[in-house]
Amino acid sequence: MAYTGRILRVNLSSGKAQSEPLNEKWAREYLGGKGLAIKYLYEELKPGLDPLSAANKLVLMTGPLTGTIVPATGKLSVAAKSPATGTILDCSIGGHFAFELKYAGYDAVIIEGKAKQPVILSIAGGKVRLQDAVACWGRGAHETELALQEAMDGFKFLVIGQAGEHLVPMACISSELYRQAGRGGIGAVMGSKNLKAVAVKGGGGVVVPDIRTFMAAINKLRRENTMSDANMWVYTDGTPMIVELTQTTGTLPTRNFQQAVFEDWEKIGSEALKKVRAAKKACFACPLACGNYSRTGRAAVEGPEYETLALCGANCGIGDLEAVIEFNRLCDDCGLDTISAGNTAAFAMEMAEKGIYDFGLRFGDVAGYLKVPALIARREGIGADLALGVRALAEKYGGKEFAMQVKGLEFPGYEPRGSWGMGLAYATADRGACHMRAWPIAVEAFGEMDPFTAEGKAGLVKEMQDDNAAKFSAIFCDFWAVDGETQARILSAALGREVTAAELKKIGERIYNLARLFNQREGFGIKDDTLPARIFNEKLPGGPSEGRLLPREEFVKILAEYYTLRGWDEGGRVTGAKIKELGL
Amino acid sequence: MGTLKIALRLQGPFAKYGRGTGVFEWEMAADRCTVEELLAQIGIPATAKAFVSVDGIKRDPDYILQGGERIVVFPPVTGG
Repeated sequence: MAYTGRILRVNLSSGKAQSEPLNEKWAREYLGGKGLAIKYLYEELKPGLDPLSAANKLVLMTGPLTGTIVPATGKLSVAAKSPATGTILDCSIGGHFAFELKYAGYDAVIIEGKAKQPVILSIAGGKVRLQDAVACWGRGAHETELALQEAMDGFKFLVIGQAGEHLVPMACISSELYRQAGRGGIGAVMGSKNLKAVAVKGGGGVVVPDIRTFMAAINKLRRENTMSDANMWVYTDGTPMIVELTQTTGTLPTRNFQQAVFEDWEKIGSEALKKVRAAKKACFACPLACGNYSRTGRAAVEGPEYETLALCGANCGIGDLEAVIEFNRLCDDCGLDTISAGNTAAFAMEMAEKGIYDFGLRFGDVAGYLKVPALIARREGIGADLALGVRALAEKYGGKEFAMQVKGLEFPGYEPRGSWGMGLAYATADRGACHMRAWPIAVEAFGEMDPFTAEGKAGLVKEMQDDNAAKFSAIFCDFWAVDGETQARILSAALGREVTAAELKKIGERIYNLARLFNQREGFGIKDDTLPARIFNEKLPGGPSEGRLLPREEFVKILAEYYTLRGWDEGGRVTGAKIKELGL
Repeated sequence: MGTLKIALRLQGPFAKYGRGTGVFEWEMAADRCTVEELLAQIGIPATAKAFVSVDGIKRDPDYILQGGERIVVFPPVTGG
């Protein structure tokens, strides 16, 4: 129940597609979304393969609740081996593609091989086609999707821009113009397969055991839980509200993480954005409608979200909201992750400031900054170097101590010196520096827990990582503060079998360990679970976190405790006992 | 007993406890009060786990207000 029970496997090299049964045992052990996608990749990818080769696979995975009316379940997991990091990579993308895929009869699509020339994969009415995409190749994600919408009525799309075509390791996949599977170069995997777009059109539905009871229970939940004070900030403000929270707590990355407060924060904060808000947008069946369209005299975009405001605004020394909106739009059109693009521009700005190398970019200089997305996406001019991302740029020119990345993935918008748990979260996230595996800042700097202590952080991060692994596999959006008990009740109703919160906890732990095993197989370990030297050695110069750093010895202590709590050995390796315990 | 005046902004869904979005002046018949007492006066439930900044700095529930402060009350956030 709730699953379609079918997976579509498409080989772009041979042009063949076949439907196969969903592995029900795996679905029980990994649910769907993140977990099930990682399971398929772990079993099917040969260790050491080149992420941009035909041997990599791209998995589009729905969850058991996709296509039902359960709120905040509209996301799709997109997974592959990452070209940016070499780790496992799973991203999630909102909008309406996921339910359409389920209604087309599939829980997932596994895309293998490489097409001889650019193609569009279309799935509708039980038919799978590869259409010529030569005419679209070279076009931006926006132009491509708008043209496809015109030509293919009723379809939903995943597309790449020029960044994906040029195999840029910060290329993303877009849907509905402004929604992205953003991180780790997932768009470059699509580009490496000569796959410009995936189009899907449903026509079916999703079956739950007792529709009448299910609908009544979900409608009650929507009213009494989803649309309560605990979640409605998502509707009223959305993530831009976090700008003021990070500014207030000294955790807003500013000028490549040299500072943690920004003098122009009000110009890029939620109140400023409300003044240029043009419309709202929601994913399928979601009453929280987190999406905000912003329009100024010269620029318009859905967004910017907090990460973009922080990393393409404060972190680049840009307090001009219109410029940030335009940078956001350019990244979306070119198919670039704004977190990595903002970080890379900021790193280049600091390189110039320190006299290491001059790309012509300066903190606060809007004109140079707005040229960055298109140049990176096409690898033209300075973009040929900037497209490498922060880690490779530092290896080539220097500045490693202030290259803000973990395992090759650039930092999200939270300063670890002002929230120590975030440091551990970045260091141990399965895809490199990531805020979505664990977001301890919510209970540290934004909550009641002391942000400047090692105490309690290892357990906090582990619990959050496991909980989110299960949550993103079910698939519930991270913006719905839904507890494990409620998740379990919903899943029980949808699947027609009892699911408990304890079972979800175990599933989350299983998934996080499987991701670790994938990375371990690729050679990752304790040497990679670290942070840039700036975090350990440079005290923040002002604001609420003035004088703070995350002392290396404290970090080492937290990391060791984290490994112990995980049941891993002292080198951070998953032990045989843990493998047995979790049925891996 | 004097009158305590503060500039207040209630963020997100908390706006319904005040005068909508934006800054407004709040008056209380008191010489001073804690952040916790202020939230109770406004009607924000203690269970709501509000984040409070006073003059741009995060403050605990027992922080004492003297009057004349700029206060912002945020709801708890998830995700990021």
